Amino acid sequence: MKWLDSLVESKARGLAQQTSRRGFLGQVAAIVGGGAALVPLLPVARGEQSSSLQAGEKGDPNSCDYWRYCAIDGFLCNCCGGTPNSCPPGTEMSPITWIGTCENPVDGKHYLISYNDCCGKSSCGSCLCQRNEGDLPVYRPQKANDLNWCLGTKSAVYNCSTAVVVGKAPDK
Amino acid sequence: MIRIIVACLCLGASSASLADLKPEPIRQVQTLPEQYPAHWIIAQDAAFFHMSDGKFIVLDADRDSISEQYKGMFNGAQIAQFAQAHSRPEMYVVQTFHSLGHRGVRNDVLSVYDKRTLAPLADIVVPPKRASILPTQYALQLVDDEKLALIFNFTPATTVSVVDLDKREFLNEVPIPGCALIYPTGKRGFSSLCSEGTFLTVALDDAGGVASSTRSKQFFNADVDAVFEKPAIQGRNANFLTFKGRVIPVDLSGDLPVIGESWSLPEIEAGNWRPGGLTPAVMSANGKMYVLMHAEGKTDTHKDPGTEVWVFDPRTHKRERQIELALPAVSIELTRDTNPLLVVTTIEMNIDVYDANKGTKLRTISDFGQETPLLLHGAH
Amino acid sequence: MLAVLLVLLVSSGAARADDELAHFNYAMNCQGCHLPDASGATDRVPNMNNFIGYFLRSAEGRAFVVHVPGVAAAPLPDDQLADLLNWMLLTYSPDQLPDNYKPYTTAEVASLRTEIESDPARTRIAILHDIAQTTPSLAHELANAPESAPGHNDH
Repeated sequence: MKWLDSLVESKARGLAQQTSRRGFLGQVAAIVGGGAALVPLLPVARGEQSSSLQAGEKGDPNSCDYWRYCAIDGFLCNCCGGTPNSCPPGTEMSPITWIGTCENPVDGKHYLISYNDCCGKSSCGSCLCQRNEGDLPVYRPQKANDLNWCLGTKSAVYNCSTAVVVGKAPDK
Repeated sequence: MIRIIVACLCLGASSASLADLKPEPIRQVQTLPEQYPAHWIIAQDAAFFHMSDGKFIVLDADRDSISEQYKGMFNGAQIAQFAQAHSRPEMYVVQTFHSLGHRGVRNDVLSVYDKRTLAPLADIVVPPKRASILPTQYALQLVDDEKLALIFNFTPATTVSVVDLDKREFLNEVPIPGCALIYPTGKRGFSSLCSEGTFLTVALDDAGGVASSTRSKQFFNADVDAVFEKPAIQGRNANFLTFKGRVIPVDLSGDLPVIGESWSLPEIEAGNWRPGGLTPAVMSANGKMYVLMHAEGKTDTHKDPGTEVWVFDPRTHKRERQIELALPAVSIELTRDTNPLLVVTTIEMNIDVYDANKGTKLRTISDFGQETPLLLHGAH
Repeated sequence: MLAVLLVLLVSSGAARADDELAHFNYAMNCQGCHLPDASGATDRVPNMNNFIGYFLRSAEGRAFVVHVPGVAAAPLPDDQLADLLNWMLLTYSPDQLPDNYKPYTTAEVASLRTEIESDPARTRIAILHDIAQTTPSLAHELANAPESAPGHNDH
């Protein structure tokens, strides 16, 4: 799901928020919270190494800052009963999606990330993230940030977003 | 003292002589005027946390209490798209339903709402392909003197559904390969923006088929400086902004778009001011371009909220005024009159109302049942 | 078929880095919709797996592959686009290529990509029909190919 970008909802302030870019949400926190509540209330980290992670990566997959989410927009499936690369029970993963690259801070390599949406149940509502890195308008759909990618699924209803590692970018 | 005594006497007297309350009729329902007052707006709330319950809320932005502001509402499911007719009291919503709520057979319909009753007049079945995309003015448009409605489809192949609004029926599906969205062009045509930086312009025949399909020369490069797909449009005159603050005027009144000489927004260098947001620019009735601006702009800040609205004259390319917003905004809109209100969706998802000519904030419209009212429409 | 094998042999050693880049470009620009195995999605995204090679059996088909918007308008330079197409053909559909298969050249792609199909779904059907006509042994296979004609299938 790439189209929830720009969404800043007061509810979201109690959920995971983007901290790497002092953009949208940073401004909200700064202005609404008057500075005092600037640090977003991230969900409680479940330790450095989640069981859903591979050996060569680390970080908190409940946080928008997690490396795989560098261009994610929507609700993190990891907070919705799924994992970074699997859907919550009873939903269907869209086969059609958009793909970008993110840098894994552990090995410094760029990996191909497939942001498949999970579909067939209504909005999860947990861990809303938006990061606009590389986003372009819908005339460039393979980079477009505004679309619901529940395409080719039985239901077009969006639930949450995954970030599946599907390959590695060539070494420069 | 005398006055108080009189008042007491009156009260005593009146309570004795008051008639009983009359029974009131049941089943009374309010109606609205055929043409909405100039300062009414329609807030498009896709309700991202509850998308089957999207809403369009009709508000009087001149008023201060919720009971005077809230005129009524109508629905649009699964990130609906919206258009208003100017020539008849109708509004259009293209929306998606599944037969069992969140699952089952998908049905897309173009719903026709009566402006007076906010009741549906018709639900026209269209191919279940409409783009589920963040609310935009350019996924549903009217052409041919408002006889035809055009719907942007994304499957991910891109097409446009043509609907006859007089006969209330779907006519045809037009391919727009590699292109997106709908900018009415000429009498009965539209242009779409294409991946490689061109327009694809389709002229329709009277059956909604393709009379001609023409690609323009390249006029922007999305890899160097992308254009926002949400231009400031007045009639058939469009100003397309780029992420870096260029303005490309496009005349859409003829059969094919005429791309004018581009110019750069002035006074943006100091502070790296950039246009941005979900609705970055709108035109006023008197031809001024209002642009939502943010400072310290760089790559990937094109959807950041703006802290100021800058007012430009597209004829002179001069900045005439700056309006400092009380709270950053993600979308801006102007009412249709020459003494317009500037209405903005703030980062708190409320609506702030400004006197556009004076630049002063008048009020905040909040607590109207909204969740994510990301696009505002001046009423017609 | 022999030609295909020769091409495979020639390309296998020389162009490993190019193949890696081609695969990466496929992933970044095509795979999201066409899927990692190029099988597409029923009624939405055309299948290319064990299929796209057929198009090179006619001049119109060979041009069509470049004229589709995802190829012609891909944000890639001509040489990388040619490499990507050649990589796709040999990776996903080597058995359907004609005996006299020649890879796309950079100049050819540069020339062809200036034109973009105005109705890809319709043109695709017409081209496959023509190929089936000239190669009757393929008629059955092409007729039974998973139909993917976005824009003309639902109504």
